Amino acid sequence: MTCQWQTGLLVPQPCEAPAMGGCSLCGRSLCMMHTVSGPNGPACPNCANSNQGYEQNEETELESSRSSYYTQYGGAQYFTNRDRQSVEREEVEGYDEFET
Amino acid sequence: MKLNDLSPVARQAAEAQAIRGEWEYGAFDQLLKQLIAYDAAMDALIAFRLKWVVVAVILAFLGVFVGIIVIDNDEAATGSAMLVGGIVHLIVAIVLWRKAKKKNLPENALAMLQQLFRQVRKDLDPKATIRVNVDLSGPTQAKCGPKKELPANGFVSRYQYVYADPWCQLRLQLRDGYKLTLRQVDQLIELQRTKRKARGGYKTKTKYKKLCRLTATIVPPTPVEWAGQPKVDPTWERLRVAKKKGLDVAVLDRWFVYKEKFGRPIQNPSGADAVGMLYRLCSMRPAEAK
Ligand SMILES: [Zn+2]
Ligand SMILES: [Zn+2]
Repeated sequence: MTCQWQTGLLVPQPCEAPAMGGCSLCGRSLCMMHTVSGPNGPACPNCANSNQGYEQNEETELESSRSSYYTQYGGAQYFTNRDRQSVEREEVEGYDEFET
Repeated sequence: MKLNDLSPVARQAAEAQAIRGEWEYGAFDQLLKQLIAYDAAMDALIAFRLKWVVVAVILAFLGVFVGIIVIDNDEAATGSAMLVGGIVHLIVAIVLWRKAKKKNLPENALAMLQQLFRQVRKDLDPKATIRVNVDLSGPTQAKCGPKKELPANGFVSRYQYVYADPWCQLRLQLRDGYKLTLRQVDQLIELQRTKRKARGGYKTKTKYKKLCRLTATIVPPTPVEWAGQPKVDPTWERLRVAKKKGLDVAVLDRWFVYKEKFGRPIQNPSGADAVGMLYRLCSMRPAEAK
């Protein structure tokens, strides 16, 4: 059994470390690093954020910023052409060697 | 945290007011942490020295006032010592305060960098480094453009100065081979307006506005067909696709404006603002890349 938590923000990737237990709220299996303790038993960072009394750590902070970007800008399904009118094709001025 | 408590690398960056070169995430985060702590100590020192200047002004006034009385009472030596001492003390206080102010670092810029990299650290290619070219010296006199005279508009005169500060260039490589760059250019616009006072004489007022332009780009490892357009704010943002070395590079610009009632605005876009831009550029990747 491996950890089913997805890490990363821009390039989400499965953690895949050996699972030590599971989230008592959503059931996914978790490694030590992605287990957050709190009043309802061990939880994944997502469940820890949506339930009271869980400790905050790097993983829960990352998860809450990830969900705020998702809420603000949408996830994979927002690939529409709705904003196409604000898009124009042109050369980038001052695009220097540093950037490539 | 004083300059001597910093690691050699952080000390060098604090003295140069700049961060340059290739960095591992861990070392870069450590550096920012140290610079933020150093800046907090500097802010406290500047506040203390400013209070000292205020006290020195009062003492100098007293020195002049009492000194003249004492001189009048035929104690010329004591009187002039009081008079001169108060003024010299004031000059020393002002010099020390200005010296500390010059070494100050822009805490909002440091906080942005720290937050940005903490949020994307898991996405970085562990084998690649972060390329950094950051100037922390702020809108110094050297960055000020020529004085420009504006239409008077009822004033005696109106002059504008523009400080151009392209202070931030970052390049990072993601795990999936895509490269991201982020650039920030600040413009501090200073407006000096002089009007005639009712009882004669002139009065000059200075107003400031800060304009920040954040530019984020995503460079694919190989030619790609971008999957679609992310959400773009038509007022403050612009998304473009540019051809660069045979690759379609997506570029997202965002503008920020800050005003302050008194003095220069010191606000800066947050790390979340920057990550939000990178996040949207990354969402343009075709499905197989994600
Ligand atoms: Zn869970
Ligand atoms: Zn894990």
